[in-house]
Amino acid sequence: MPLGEGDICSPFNDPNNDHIIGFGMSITDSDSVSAGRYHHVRYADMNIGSIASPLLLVHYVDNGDNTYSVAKTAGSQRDAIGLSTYSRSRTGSTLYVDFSLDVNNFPFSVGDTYDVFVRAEDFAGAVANWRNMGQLEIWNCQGVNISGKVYDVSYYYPDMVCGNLSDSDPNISGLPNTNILFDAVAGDDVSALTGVDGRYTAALRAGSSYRYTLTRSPFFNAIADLADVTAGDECLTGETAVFTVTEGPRGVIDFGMSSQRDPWIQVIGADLTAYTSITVDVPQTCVDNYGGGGECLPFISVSKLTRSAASIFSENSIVAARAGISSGQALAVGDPNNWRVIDANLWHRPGGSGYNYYVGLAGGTLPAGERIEGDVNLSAISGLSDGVVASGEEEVRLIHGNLAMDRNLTVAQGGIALLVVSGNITFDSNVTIAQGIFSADGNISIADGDDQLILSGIFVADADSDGAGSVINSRSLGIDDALTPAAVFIYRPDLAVAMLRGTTTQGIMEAEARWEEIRP
Amino acid sequence: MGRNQAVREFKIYKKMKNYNSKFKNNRGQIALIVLAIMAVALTTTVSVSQRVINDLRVSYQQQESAKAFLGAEAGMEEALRRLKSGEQISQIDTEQIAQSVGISEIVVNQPVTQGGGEEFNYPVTLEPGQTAVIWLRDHNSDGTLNESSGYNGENINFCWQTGAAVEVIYFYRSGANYSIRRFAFDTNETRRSSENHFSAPTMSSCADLSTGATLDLTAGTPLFLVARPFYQSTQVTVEGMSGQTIPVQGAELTSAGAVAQGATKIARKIRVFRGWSAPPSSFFQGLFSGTGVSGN
Repeated sequence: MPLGEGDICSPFNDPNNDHIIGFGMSITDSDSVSAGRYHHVRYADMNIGSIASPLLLVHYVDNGDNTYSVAKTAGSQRDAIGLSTYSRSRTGSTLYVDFSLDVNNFPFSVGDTYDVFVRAEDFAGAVANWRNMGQLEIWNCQGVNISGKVYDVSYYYPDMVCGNLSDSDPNISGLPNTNILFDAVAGDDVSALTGVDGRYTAALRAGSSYRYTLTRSPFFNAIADLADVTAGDECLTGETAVFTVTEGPRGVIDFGMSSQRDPWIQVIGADLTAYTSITVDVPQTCVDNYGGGGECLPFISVSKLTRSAASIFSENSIVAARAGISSGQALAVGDPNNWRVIDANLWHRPGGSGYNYYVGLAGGTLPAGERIEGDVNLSAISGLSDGVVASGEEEVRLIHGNLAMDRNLTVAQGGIALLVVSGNITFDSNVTIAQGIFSADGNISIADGDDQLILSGIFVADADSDGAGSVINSRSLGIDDALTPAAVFIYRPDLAVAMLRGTTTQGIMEAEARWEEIRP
Repeated sequence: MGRNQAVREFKIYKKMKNYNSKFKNNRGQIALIVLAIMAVALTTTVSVSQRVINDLRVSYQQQESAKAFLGAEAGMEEALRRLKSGEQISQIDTEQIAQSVGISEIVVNQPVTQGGGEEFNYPVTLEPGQTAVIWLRDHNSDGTLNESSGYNGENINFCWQTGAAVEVIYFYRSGANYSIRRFAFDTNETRRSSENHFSAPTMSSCADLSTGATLDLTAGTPLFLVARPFYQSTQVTVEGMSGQTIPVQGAELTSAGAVAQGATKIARKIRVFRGWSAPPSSFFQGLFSGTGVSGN
């Protein structure tokens, strides 16, 4: 239930007229005078200062919890000083009257104070005295006293109400000097509530919900003077009216909040090898979600996209590095097999298998169109500009420059796309799917973007092994980083096999050859 | 004055007489010393001369040997080029190559197929992280993979040397899909339990090597294995089971260069195992960085 848009100091935008600020009273008419089908209270009135327009929406609820609307009655305005609205109740029912302000049409002047009076009249004509309910004070540019549940939407629980919290929802971040005070919801784990004076300082605990209020002064000041409206207040002809005022007008909202996590990557069925170190900060939120039955997989290397998905191509793979492997809060490096190798002696191919390596293998046999000089975008490469490589199609490009993947690229099984780049390969922010074999002498960079990037195939950075170039991820999914990797690398065995069958790829593959001198 | 002169001459005469007398007494010793000095000088001269001559000879032989090796290399390069381009090795103009490097003879032998038996010893000792492709399918004459024939056994023994850990990636076809299955073994129990969590090998000896494991190939039609050792270098061997033979893995070529030296030759010889064409080792991994990987 988003409360509004824009600055909370502005009137609420309530096009559906479903935001209300309610005053209510319950009335018991004890004179037992029958009036046909109806008896008890004939109408209830409210006066708020000298407001001339009837703005109150009235309904009542019978003892069966059925809600009935009650139309405003013509002429209900009394003495041009306030508002009045008829209401009525059924026999045997207790009348509850909610004086609900249409918050989209406030006529009130900011900074003014209005007296609020209520009274009721029964069908016998008995009319209670006007009772002063207190004052409604309109503060200048103040926030509503908001309360509601806070959900850590790092965890997608079914009862989550609000989804993601953004600045434009209750605009908390737009309120200066706002502190959030938390109260634990009964039954929830409150152990995470730490901090000074109840101020929120700690990450919300998984699976818990919290109720909080803003310490800002409310839009409506407290108006109820319950001492003036108590049971037994005398009504004319002996009726008793009991007025109960809600505990101040207030906005109620449920918030979803999440601590920001660092983005992370994951490999699926793919060996991950680095000749220095591997650093992937798998967040604790993923661990908690996994432990709580969620879909997040808190490992660097897995065999499937989510916990409930089928394995892709193989079991998990080996994560290997020379210098070290850091996996953040991950439960293990890999799942289901925690295969990890730190080996300072990992073989390093002299000269690597970079752009010049393939140019050397290809010799002069590679068609001119498959050699590209200078920086290029995928959408500008003939044969690949549509972003689709069909089965049987073989697209090999040796690019002497940088490659910007400015659109998605899909490769059907039986097809192959091999892009060998002497510089960097960058996956732009709009790219969500990239399939094929990508080899860069420099970096493989992933630009920031809103959506997860699925990289299927084979990806090689610093292919020429000159020590310049690595895998750099800048993509962050914002709140979703808590539960899912920003980029996943899925191995495609069919691409390796397609290289063996391709005609062009045959020319740029090297046969294993071992030279050794033997006795003549 | 005349007398003084006479006295001086007499003294000189006496000194000379004494000297001549001593000299006559030591003549044998001096001769010996002279002879010794001459002998040492002669010996040194002869030794230095021999050394110089030897050095010259060795240097010459090394030079000729290097030329022979260069010739062998040139022959092998040409053979590999012809293999790649499909040209006949028998038509290599060895005389022309020999002349170009200044040697008398180059001999390039026809390729000898490797594999095709019950076991195949991969001819390269693999360094940690280096990969080897062991084919379980046959190859066509143009060097492409023939997916319709090859090893059809349900299992295969994979052998390596104690001390190393190995990853074996099994590529197979299931219907229209290509998939992989990974095996990982380590002979070192400490590493298995505290580091890599690989499996223990199941064989204490395997073919001619010291350890091994039986791989289950039943997931689909076997295509090839990719072996990658860790921690230390190792030889690897695959051993067919149930009478299945390992497909031909490639060919061995030899090339020799020789320089004639009278009736003898200075010869060098090179052997090359040339496997079927395969993607580079980094292509058997999903994400590979020559430096580091940072997820954020």
